[in-house]
Amino acid sequence: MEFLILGATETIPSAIGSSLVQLVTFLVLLGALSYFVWKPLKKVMDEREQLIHSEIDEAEQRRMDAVKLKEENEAVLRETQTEISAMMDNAKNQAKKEQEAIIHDANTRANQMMETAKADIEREKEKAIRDINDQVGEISVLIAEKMIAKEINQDDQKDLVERYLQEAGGK
Amino acid sequence: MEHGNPIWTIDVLGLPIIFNLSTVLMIVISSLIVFLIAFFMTRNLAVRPTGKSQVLMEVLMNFVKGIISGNMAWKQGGRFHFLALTLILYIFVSNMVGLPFAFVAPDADQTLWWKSPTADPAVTLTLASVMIVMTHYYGIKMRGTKAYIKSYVEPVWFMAPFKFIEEFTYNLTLGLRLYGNIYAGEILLALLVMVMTSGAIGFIGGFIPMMIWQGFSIYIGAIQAFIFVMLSMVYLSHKVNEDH
Repeated sequence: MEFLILGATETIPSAIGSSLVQLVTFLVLLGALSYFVWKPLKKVMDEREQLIHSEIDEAEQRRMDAVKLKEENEAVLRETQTEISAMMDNAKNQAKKEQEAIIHDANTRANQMMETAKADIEREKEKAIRDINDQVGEISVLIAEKMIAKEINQDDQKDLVERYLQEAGGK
Repeated sequence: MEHGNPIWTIDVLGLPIIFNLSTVLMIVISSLIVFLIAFFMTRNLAVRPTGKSQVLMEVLMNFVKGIISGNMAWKQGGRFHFLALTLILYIFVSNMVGLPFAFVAPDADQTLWWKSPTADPAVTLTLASVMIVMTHYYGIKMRGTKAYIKSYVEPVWFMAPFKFIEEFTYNLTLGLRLYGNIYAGEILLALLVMVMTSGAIGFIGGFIPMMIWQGFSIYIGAIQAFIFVMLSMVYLSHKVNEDH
């Protein structure tokens, strides 16, 4: 058990050789593991980290884009709606105006036609009255002529008047 | 109980350089196991891992990262990541390697060939020394010589001797804690093996304690690997951090 005691004569020299072997082996192991194992592994892990970072960034970017797009869309929609309602108002006003114009027109024309018709009727009436008057005059003249021409007797005259009156009434 | 050690000596300029061949063998075997496990677990690496092995290695990586970033800023500590990973894996595997069986040569000395390399103080003290020397190296490199020397006379000048001695005790405690735990574990395992091979009653009586102790040794091995790396990082942070 003497190698348990540090400083025992055999221990120190015995340590040196094993020690050197341990040192060299450990350094070789460190180098080999670093090159073949840790470095590739770390690279993969770093790559993953990078990937996650970039994915998160991208997602954030996309979210912001989406928000912006949404706002834009909403603005466009609002604008369109305003435009549409303006157009509707315009159209309504236009239609109303046209309606009024048409009604006004129709009224005017109707009135005109009424006036014309009235005037026509008046004219025809006057014409008819005039005609009747003329005819009455003629007939009167005729009667008078007949009465003058046939100054026979009272009876005859009476007959004549009756006859011509009948004639005039038959007309 | 008492096993011999296969010693091989060469003279360099009259100085005997002694190798404990069993330790050397186990160092190489442990390193190979560590390398092969880590190597084959990280073959099909993908950003989206498909197998369990890559996930497991990434968990280990993040675990060690947690140990380091618990002690210092990752900007400073990132460079020790691979070192701490290699260290924790190597110590853990070294602690485990002696548990399932031991191999004792059938010679007069009962030479012990198969054991945990960390059951040899030369190994643990070497690892501890590497870490402690490294703390000094990075302490000077990252904070400058002036700040490094100044750290010895802080907070008061007469603390300097204690601080100086402390550096050696760090080394000793770091190395010997690991060695003591693993060596004691192996001695107890060897004792239990002796009990179990002594006869039928011994086998029955020793079976359950053997299982319990092996399970506990696994726990100790894992905990000691963690503690070793943890303390190394604490010592490093003492030297590397601006204020502590």
